[in-house]
Amino acid sequence: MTKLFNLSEIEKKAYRSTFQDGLWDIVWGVIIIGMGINTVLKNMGVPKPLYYLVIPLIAVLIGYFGKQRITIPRMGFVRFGPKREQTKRKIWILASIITPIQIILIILIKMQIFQSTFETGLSNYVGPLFLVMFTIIIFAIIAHIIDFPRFFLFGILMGLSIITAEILYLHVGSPLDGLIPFSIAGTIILVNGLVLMVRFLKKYPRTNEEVGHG
Amino acid sequence: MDKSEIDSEGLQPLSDIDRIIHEPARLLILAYLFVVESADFLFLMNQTGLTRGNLSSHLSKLEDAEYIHIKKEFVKKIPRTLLSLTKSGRKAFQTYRQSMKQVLDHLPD
Repeated sequence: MTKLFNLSEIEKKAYRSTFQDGLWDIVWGVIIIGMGINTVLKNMGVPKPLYYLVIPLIAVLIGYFGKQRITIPRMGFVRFGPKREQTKRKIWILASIITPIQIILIILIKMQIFQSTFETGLSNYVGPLFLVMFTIIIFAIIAHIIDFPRFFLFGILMGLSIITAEILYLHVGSPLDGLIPFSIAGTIILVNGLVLMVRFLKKYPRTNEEVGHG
Repeated sequence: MDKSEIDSEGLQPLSDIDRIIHEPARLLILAYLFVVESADFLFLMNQTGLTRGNLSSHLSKLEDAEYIHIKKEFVKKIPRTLLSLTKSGRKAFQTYRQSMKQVLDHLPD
């Protein structure tokens, strides 16, 4: 009875169940693998907007159609209360703060104020390390806001990929420096997502009959 | 324990308990609907672990008591039964919670 009265626990359980499908993992896995593939496309001379936009767009479409065609027909539809809706607003506010900082950071790196390791040797990690810290912190904040702890791990894997790419550049050059770490990190996340998706499909088989009241 | 003893121990709310809500399955349904804005039949069925028939019958009782609102709609030609708490349902659930807490708090260890 006491458990039944713990409404925040019930709400949390209902909310977290919406992440069981592994779609977030699949989407972010594809995005991070895409970051690796981007370095190859860049070397091939493919126009920037194409590789910067196409793969994230594919990932978002996977997420959207996955939710509509796989998750909702099996698990059902739910709309959470105003508290959860506020999180969306928080994410937008956060994004509007992060984006200019990221742009400034990239400009500073391009202007060689923070010099990259491949230009100055292993002694100078300031720029990449700053970027890694920034990435991990942002992912941690988002994980907290959306109440999805796994998102923090995505940030760590992404951060590790950034620093590994910097180190690999000295040894293997481009495009392998980006392709290897981002593909590995993305694949780990993607495989985890696929495992979760398979579990989800087993747990929630699709019924052909109309599921409704009376 | 006679009635006067129950009253003196603050268990009076027990006799006022809403019996529509007091059934465990209906209590669970209301608890879920209390924490979300709305949910469809399938979501509620998966969360509560109730069978289709069972859930449907409890929903009918809750609808008759005007505690929940049932809306049938089509989303891209697929039927969806959307459920939400009514104002009176929300109030009744809160009253029930308070009454039960009061009763349970007054029970001896």
